[in-house]
Amino acid sequence: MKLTLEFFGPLQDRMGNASAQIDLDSAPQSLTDLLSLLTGKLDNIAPLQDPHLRVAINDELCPSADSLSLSDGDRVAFLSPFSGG
Amino acid sequence: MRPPLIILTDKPLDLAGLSEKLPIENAAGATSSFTGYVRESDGLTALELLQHPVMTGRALDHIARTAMQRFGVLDLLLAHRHGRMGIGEPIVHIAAAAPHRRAALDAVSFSIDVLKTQAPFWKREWRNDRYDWVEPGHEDHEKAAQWLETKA
Repeated sequence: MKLTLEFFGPLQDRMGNASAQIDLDSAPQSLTDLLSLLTGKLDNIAPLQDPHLRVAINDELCPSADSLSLSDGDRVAFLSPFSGG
Repeated sequence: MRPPLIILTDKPLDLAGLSEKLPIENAAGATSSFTGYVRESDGLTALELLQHPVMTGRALDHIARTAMQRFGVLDLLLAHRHGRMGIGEPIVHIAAAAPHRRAALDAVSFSIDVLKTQAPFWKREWRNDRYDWVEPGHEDHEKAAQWLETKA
């Protein structure tokens, strides 16, 4: 399964990139699954383990990280805490 | 209910022009507004607001519609700048028109408090050619939680 990971906010600096393309052998069912599958695929996944990050799939916020429904070609965004106004 | 007026732009906010947009109808007995500016602090040379290309506009629209419905306001304007701006420039302007003052005041307070932590913006402070990210503070989360955890 091919996914595009997108990083927003301070996380972008911590990851060293705005996005990354990855190819997974299986479909992750949760954020924990996804992070586990990313180990070894990305240089540094520690910044993605911040519990304050929000996750969006194809520009839709995920209500819960416990259950992810991902398809081939999806974009998964990791969003640093928001700071508007 | 009329849709809210949402402006998300990388151009300077024209406060004089925005102030003429509300009220739209004579049923409005009150208007209220808030403007947030880039404030001078500790060698700051510019403030930069980064947005999400899709989710930010959608979040602003959702926050504005929620405020209108919750407080029964007639119209709500929410204008937010993104990109790089200098000290003294407006970042955000929110205005509400309602039959009575309490609804107009509360709708504006709700919108700015919730926007701070629920709209996908990221802020960095520039000091010459270096920047520091601004993370939301505990107080920002508390203010938003007050509105989100209590019923009108």
